Amino acid sequence: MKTLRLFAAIACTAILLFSCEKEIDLDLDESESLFVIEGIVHDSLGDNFVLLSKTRPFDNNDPIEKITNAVVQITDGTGTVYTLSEVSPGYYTNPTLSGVSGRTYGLSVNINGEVITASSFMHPRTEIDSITYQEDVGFGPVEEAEYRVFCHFTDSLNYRNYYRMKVFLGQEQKDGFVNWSDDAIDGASTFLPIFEVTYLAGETARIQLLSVDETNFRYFTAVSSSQGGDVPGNPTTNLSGDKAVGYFGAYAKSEHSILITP
Amino acid sequence: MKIFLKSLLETFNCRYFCGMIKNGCILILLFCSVNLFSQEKYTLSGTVKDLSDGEDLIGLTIFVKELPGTGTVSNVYGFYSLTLPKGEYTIQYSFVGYKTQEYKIKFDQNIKKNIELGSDANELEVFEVTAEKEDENIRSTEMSVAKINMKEIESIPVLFGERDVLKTIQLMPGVATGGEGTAGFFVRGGSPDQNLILLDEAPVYNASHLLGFFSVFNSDAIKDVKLYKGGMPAEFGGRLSSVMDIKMKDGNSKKLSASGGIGLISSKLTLEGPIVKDKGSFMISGRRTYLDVFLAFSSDETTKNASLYFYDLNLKANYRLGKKDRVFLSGYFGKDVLAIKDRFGFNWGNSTATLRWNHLFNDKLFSNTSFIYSNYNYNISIESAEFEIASKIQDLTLKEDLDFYLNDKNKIKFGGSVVYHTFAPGEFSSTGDMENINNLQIENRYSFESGLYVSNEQKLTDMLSVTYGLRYSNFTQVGPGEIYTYDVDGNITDTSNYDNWETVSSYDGLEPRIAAKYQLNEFSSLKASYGRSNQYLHLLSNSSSGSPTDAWMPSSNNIKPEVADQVALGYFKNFKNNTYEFSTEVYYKTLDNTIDYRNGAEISLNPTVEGELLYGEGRAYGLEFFLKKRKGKFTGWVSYTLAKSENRFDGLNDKQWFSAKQDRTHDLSLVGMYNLSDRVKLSSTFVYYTGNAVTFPTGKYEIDNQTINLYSDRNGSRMPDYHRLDIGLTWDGKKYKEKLNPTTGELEKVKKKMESSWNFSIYNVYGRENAYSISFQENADDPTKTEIIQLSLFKMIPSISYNFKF
Repeated sequence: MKTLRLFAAIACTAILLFSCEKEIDLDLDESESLFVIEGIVHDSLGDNFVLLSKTRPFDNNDPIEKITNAVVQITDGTGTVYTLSEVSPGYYTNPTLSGVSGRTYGLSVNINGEVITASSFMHPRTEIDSITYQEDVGFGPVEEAEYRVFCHFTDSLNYRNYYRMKVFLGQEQKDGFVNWSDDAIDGASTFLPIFEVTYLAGETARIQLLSVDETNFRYFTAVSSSQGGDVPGNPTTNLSGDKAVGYFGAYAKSEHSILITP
Repeated sequence: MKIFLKSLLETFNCRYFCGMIKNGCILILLFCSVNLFSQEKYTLSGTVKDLSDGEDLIGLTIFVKELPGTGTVSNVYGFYSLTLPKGEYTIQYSFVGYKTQEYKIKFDQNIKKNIELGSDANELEVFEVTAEKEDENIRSTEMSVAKINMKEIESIPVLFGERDVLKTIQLMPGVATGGEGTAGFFVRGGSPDQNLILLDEAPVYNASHLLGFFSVFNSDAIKDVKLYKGGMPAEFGGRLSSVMDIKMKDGNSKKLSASGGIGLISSKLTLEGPIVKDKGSFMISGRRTYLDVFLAFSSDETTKNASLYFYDLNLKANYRLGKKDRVFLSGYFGKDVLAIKDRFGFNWGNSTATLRWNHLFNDKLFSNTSFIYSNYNYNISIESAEFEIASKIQDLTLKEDLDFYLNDKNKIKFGGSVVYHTFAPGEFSSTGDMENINNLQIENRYSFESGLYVSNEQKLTDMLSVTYGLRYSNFTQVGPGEIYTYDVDGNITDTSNYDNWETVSSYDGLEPRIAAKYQLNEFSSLKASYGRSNQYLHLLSNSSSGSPTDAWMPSSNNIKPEVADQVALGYFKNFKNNTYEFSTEVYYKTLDNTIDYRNGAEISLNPTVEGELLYGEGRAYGLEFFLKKRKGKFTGWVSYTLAKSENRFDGLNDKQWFSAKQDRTHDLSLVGMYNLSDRVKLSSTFVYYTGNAVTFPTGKYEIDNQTINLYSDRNGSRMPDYHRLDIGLTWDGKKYKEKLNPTTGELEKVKKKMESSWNFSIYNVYGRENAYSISFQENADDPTKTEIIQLSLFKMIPSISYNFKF
């Protein structure tokens, strides 16, 4: 019995000693600075933006360097050209542009003579039917009840849909890239649990369901797998040339929110 | 070369008939007509066994005193056959660690002689090796082979005191560990999926337990381990880098015995004994970890409800049916479970079964027919989200191997095999009321892999021996299934449906293998080998260290077979009466159709994963040194490898050569064992190796308000170098007790029924924080800032275990 207790004690000690995490300094190689372009056209009036900035060394924790005074234009495939104006440093938008499903949008960004272009097709919108929540039975003892949110929607039958979802707590967007294809849910009326975040009573959960094109779907799939460390590398983007990272997307958006009341 | 060709032609008049039958399988019919010599010759044959437990002795040397350099070696079933011209000869049977036996035998008729050799260790108080022929390493044509003595494994210090053949063999030159937390290993710059691991001939697809901290091989159940790093014999095929051939114990055929061990995290028990004395025996060995037993004492609810364990079971039985036939049945079943009650479950495991039939057609022709089953599967269930993921790979194999002992100069091996592979990459199913989610299944894939081979081990002169052979392999992917075709960018260009058994794609190849030995003098030899191999299965690993969810992919209309050619040269020398063994080898390898992933590829559970792959070429070369002291109070070895392994892909790093993940510039292992007294043995190992080539970020930017790492070249950075020192102490219980002999009135030493030993070890003595992973992430408190976090495992782990045998 004594031996057994000894074994138990040693085993527990060993487990405690198992692993340790610490912050380290690494002398990393630095690549040349690239342009960062993030542009979205939504299917509602004035709901569009293009963000321009620059990449920086990994150990640089200074504020991001924005790109100002660029010429940013979006075309809608029917011949109309919208010029986006810079409303704050690096943030460009146009109040008269409203995306229409079925059109292919083109982006053109001119930064000091360097022109980068991209295009994206806007798919039909898939509406969120409702958002529901239920108390989440936590892994361990909980001090305060946490709620898991579910997004209900109906996928259109026999149409290849790709989705992105953005999850917000109030105005604050939560981390994580949620994107999936309708392989498993074609034509189904379904609900998906939101794994990224749990909510507390009194908080507002806001969800955007974005119908995106395949290029954007692939881009964000690659972003999440490359960031997880599986296959590190820069995701293939729809931006032209090799001077820029980021993406351009034409998204049909459905947005719902709900106040969590126990 | 001329001598070699002449002899080859003399021995065979061979004709190959190749024909293609409808389903795409090619059949080679091989006809040999043998030129028989007119001189009268007779054959001595039989089996060799251990006297104490009846285990077959593999690789025992039988040689003829009057004809230096003439002899043979027992095969894996302990069978041997030796044909000599009429006459009287002195035949010696010797094996390292056993007493040599010598017989005068008259070759005037064919003779059967079954031999049982006594082990020195069991009979003498002091361990003393008396076998004279310990120079098999310089005499055989075999090169690029790593062998581990099961006795050495007992004293080498290991993590948690869990003896592990897979970890120990990584201390040999040219064999590099995949790192802590992985059972994968790299052989001569090859990736882990290029190693064929066979347990009693059954392939083991995932050799890791507990996420890779331990291997699935319970050392108590294992008799023999041999790793071919190059110059692979023609009977093996299907992998580019190595074959690890593991044989389970047959079981004690003399008496019932038990052995076992109690360790910090696991216990094991082995029972073995005769079914009918000297006719058949069985062995059953089980092992289970009990970390979860301790978890139950935790005050934390989550920890309390957690399960974390693995078990495995090795079974084997053999029975002799008359003088010419023997059957073996062996099996392995293992499972890992990682779960939190009612929340989450993750389990994986291998099962294998091998049914074998040995038949002696005559005293020169030995046959083994095997029917083999192998299965690896994993299941993940997330109960809170009500879904389950299941995946498996399964093999059914029929195999025939024949050993033909033509004469004292030629030993021919030939045979063939057919494997039917089933791949079920993933099925995603809903378990609860989320019926609105259709079950998603990534379609099963089916294929046949077949091989035919012939090889001959030939003694050309007293100095020169050659083993040459040819293997033909075929791989045919068959329906049913919806098969996609991809363009160079990974986009689907065609979708076709195939019926049951309909051929989708078929590949084949000829794989020549040759190895030669030139004896420089009694103590040294030069060896050279060349071999080609084809690999038709590819492992897609979604992490740097390998995980239970890694998926095997068959060659297909999109994935071409990988091909490797390797040449190796070696110098082997024993000195100080075989006390020291030295060898050095240099190798060069080229690889075709090597696989890597597109940037940001999604590998797990992706139905179009073939579109995420890139195909390129590889090359690997290196220099290996090995020096071992085999006898005396102090034994041990030094092994050092200087190597390079590189790949080149169209879509990566501007088509320049870049380091493969497993590129190890330096790899050093030191192993020492010292017998302090008859009962106390000290041991120590030290390892040092260059960190893996990895891809670290070279910058960062923000997308969707989140930090994204910017990368430049694939594998352009290095993990920190790894080094570690372990020490161990084995303390044997008294093997003898003193007893008063009533007739003589003197104290006599009587062997105790039960033998026991304590084993103490410290893993990572100086607490080196070796990097297991390095992650680049946002600071949790301030997401605008980033940080680099290193995770280290196992900072100094002491352990203790108790082993017994009776």
